Amino acid sequence: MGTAPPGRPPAPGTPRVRRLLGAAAFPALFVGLVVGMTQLPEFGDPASPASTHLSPRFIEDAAAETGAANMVTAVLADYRGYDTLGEAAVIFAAGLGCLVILAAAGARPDPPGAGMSHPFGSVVLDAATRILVPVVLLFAVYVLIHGHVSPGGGFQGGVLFGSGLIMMRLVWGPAHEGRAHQPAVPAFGPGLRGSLVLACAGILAYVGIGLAAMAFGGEFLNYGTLPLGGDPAHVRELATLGIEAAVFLTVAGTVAVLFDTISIGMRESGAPLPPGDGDSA
Amino acid sequence: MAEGHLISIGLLAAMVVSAACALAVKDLLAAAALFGAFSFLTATWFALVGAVDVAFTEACVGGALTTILFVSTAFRTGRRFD
Amino acid sequence: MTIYAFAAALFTLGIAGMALLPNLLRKLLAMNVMQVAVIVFFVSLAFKDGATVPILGQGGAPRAAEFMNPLPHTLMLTAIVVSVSTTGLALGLLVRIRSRFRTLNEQRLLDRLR
Repeated sequence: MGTAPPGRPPAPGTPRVRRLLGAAAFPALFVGLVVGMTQLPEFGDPASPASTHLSPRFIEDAAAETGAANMVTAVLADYRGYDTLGEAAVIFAAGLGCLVILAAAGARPDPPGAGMSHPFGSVVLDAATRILVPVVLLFAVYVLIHGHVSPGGGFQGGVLFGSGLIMMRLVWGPAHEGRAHQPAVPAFGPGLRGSLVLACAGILAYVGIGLAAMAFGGEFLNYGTLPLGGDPAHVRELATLGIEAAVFLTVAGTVAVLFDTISIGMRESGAPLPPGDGDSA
Repeated sequence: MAEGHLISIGLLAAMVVSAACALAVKDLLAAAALFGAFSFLTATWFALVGAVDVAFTEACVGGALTTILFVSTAFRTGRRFD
Repeated sequence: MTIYAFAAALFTLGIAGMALLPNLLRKLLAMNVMQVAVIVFFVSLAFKDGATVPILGQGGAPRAAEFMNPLPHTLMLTAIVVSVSTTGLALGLLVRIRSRFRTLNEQRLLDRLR
């Protein structure tokens, strides 16, 4: 071990053997996958196990039980509410991870005229964004509310809303708090902190709806007992819309936070830079 | 739609080709654009096999958001892969 | 079967890219390709011959044979959004790594970390 660098034990075999093994591994993986897939049911087989267990019940009872014509929405927000809560929590955790990155690196806005925080200053872009952004945001809300009867729902609407927020950031410059230089058009919409508040409000609303169902005598996320009036299917429909709205807020806020993490300039704290060029690209 | 539907096979083949190109090019902007094309082909295939909600999500996420994130990364790290 | 083979090809492409490409950003792209391969496989399991999209139209009580299986669609819809948020987090990390170590090449990073 005297000559080997510390922490890296020498790999077995000569480089040539290793390269051959590496080159053979992936064709072997492909062949193995295809051989395994020959045992699967035929593509489009209506009698396959995936289509005969559980899903007939979703297809036949979803509309009557939850009032949602779009079965995907019914399964997403009602039957598998726990699962969706977990997914929303993962997305929220990604946003929190971004906060850790921002805090560890010492976030600060770019100086005027540098980085992405400088508005492009193009009249064409400004005018196009003024027209497009309201349409995008409104369409996102439409996708959320109309998700019961057409493709759409909280996830898609949230991503669209987040895209609208990103579009404003791209063209009109920074939306983070305490901006030192005023862009040509004042930045509109939630900044980094506002986006975080959106994401937190979303996840809290999700858990809150679940706990409210418990408070009125049901199980966690079993909305049938909520005192919203009307027949059970209608109550479930309203609660499902609430769940979708919570997912919408979480996704929209997190998407904006993700973009900010990539685009906000950093002052490196901690260890000094290794020798090399000093650009801050 | 039968198993060997020509449009389905063509879309899947185009997906494999565009994914291979996105992984092969040495320019981050080109890779992001090719990945956007790959995502859009995928979304079209999802719509073809009846997964409209998945197609909608993939079009929003893959066609727009992932591409935006990769392009803003290219702005920060430089276009060339080193 | 053809469609499963295409999904397998995409998966192999993605995992080979993750293992063989030298640059962390390209590895991330390859990881995304692999995720899409898994999603394609799941969605192909939901397809039924002679069925339509899982949205109820006008008419009587729905029968299971008339609609695609909505369960894989639901699972994959959430998986796509989770994949974009993890990708964004990874990109944020990579931007930090690049500004601190001046490279995203795996071997050079390992050399500098030592």
